[in-house]
Amino acid sequence: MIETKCSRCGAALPREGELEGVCPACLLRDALAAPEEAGAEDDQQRGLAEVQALFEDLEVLERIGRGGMGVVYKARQRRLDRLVALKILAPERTRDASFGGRFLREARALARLSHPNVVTVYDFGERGELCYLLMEYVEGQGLRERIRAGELPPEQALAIVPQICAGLQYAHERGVVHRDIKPENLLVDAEGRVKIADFGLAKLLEHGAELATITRGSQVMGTPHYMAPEQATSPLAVDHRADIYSLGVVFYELLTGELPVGVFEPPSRKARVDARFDEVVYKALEREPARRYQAARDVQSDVEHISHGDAGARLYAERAGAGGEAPPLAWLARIPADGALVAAAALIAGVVWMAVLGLQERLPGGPYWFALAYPFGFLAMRGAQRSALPGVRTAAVVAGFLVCAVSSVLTSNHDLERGGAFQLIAGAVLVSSHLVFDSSLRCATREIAAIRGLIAFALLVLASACHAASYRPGEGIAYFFGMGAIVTGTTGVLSTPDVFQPAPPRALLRAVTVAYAVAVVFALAYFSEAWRLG
Amino acid sequence: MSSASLDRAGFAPTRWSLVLSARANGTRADAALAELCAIYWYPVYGFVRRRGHDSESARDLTQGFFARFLERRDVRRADQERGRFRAYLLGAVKHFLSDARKSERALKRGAAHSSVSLDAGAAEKRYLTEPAGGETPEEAYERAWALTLLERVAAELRAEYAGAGKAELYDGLKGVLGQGEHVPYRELATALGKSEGAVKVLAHELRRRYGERLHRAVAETVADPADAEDELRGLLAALARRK
Repeated sequence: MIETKCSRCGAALPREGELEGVCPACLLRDALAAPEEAGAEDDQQRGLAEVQALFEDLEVLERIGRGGMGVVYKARQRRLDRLVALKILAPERTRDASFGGRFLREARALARLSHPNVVTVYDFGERGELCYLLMEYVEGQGLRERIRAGELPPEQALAIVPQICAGLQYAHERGVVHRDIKPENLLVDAEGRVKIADFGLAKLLEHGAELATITRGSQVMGTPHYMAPEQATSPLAVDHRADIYSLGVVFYELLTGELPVGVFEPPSRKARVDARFDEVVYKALEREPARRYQAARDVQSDVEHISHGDAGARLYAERAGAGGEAPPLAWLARIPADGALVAAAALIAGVVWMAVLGLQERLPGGPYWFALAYPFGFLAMRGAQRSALPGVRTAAVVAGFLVCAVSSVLTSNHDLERGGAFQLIAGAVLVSSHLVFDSSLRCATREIAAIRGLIAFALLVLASACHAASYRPGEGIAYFFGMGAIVTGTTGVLSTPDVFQPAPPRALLRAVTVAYAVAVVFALAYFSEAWRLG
Repeated sequence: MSSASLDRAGFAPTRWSLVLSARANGTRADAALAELCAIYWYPVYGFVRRRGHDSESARDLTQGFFARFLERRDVRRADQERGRFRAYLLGAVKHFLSDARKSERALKRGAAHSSVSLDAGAAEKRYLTEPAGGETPEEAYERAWALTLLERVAAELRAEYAGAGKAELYDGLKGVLGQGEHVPYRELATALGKSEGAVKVLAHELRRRYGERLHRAVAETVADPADAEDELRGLLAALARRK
């Protein structure tokens, strides 16, 4: 009986020719899965002996692979008695002028890098006709072998990616772009530490002009499936964000075992991982560099926060200990408490504040003091969001909302009788504006974020109008600016990365922090003036 | 270090890298290019046909294309796709077709001299048996390329076995290619008159040799041997695209 369909994949079988009865797709798949035969053993041995002859100060042990630009050997430095990796470039290529120049650049760029997640370069030079690099030896497998062996559960993938980010961030800050991030270039040592190797296509950003004359036309470098789109279309405009794209591809492959080609399924549907990682992957894989993550450290912090949830505080403390820079309000993250405690503390403080004010006969400067209870309400709501306790979360959010609403009402009217209804509406609408604005800072897509921002703005205008309806138009305008600044500023400050997550765009954060500072100044000026007059 | 021993150390140039190499001997590069074209001409024919040309003009265009392609020795340096012969060839075909559209004369001139012999009849027959719908000409090209590569390797392997007097063994065993774990060892053993154990060993050997040859064959079409793996993955994607 002649089979017409492949029993493994269901594809139609060729009915004539060399491959009659053989499924081409399965054939190719099998061939890919099997490791490539490296060639006759004795051929390798002879090549090794010849390399050994050129490098007398090393004991050349074995060939460990063929890298992007040449062959790599494991060796021992005799005098230092340490293991090194010796990369030798194909002599045919070193005669090519541009290649030699690139090699020199690679070596110098790498020699500047010293980081636990980057393979260290010890030395480089020329011996005989060969150019070589002496590098740190990493005992362990490349990521490619691990993916093949199927040894990568999602938890490991999530442990690997932040390390790659750390290495990339370090290199990017020093103006070095890898341009060929792929599993073959990511080595994992015995302790599970990831090291990025083969910065062979490193482009020094500060020498961009020099590069334009040396690069041959628009020769493309890198491996297509991991390459960022701009590497193919406009190679000279490539910057560190291309590495972030490649990182996204690797991340997807680590989670799902497949490449994100064409229309691909979200990782959470193919592997058992949190759905929030989908957004991280998509954002890294944005076709336009400006829409991607702009820094590897942002990818890292998002991944870590999603991975560790409320242990984010602990994680931050560890990282800060390792020499990371401390963002504002970092101390908040070190509070070893559930978000519920933070929320409770904030609520009590807010209520106490309003009670104390409420008991005053006269408030110098008017009722605007109540507005300062607002931040407590926000803090309560944000703290509640980070809590692991279910019922508490809802209760605290509601309570926080009430604190803000009441504070808003009291601000606009210490005396509840005057235009009471409008004030209540204004308060409620104002808090809604805050919530919508806050949610817009968390959007993955710019369009949705923009729409929500506009809605928040419209709500703010509406609240101001309501306030003006019971006072004078001038009051409405003051309300608009003052409350607007307080709302956005408080949200922004409380949204600093590494404290609360996910991190909104940096520029936006800075803008709202400035707005908050302006509001505080405005308030102080107003109060001091009123105090002087009152 | 002698160049021969350097070759053994793993630096032997691939055909395509020879063609691209600035320093390679002109004749060597020409021969390498001609060899590559002789192997991979069918996907070009298929592409031209799918672009809407009928069988006669596809034949003429394909022959004309290769004639021009082989005459021109300067591989354009500015070309983005030079790393992979497959992609480079496709780019060149597209250019040729758009040029040919503009001038009929280019077409006629090319048809006379061709150093790549095309069996146009066989090509057309094969083209007609391909499934019709849903693919762009580029996708069809990639798929045809993948199949051509696989068939070529199978043919070479068969020749290797035949040279050792084992043609029948190959024919009997070749079904194991691509069967993974689903190999019916017992049936094969009966059919070939051997023990099951022996068949397992022979099957494994056949698959191993096929894999070796395949890796080498695909490496011939890329400038950097390290890209071979990636190229294979791309071809697999092309084959697996439609079920």
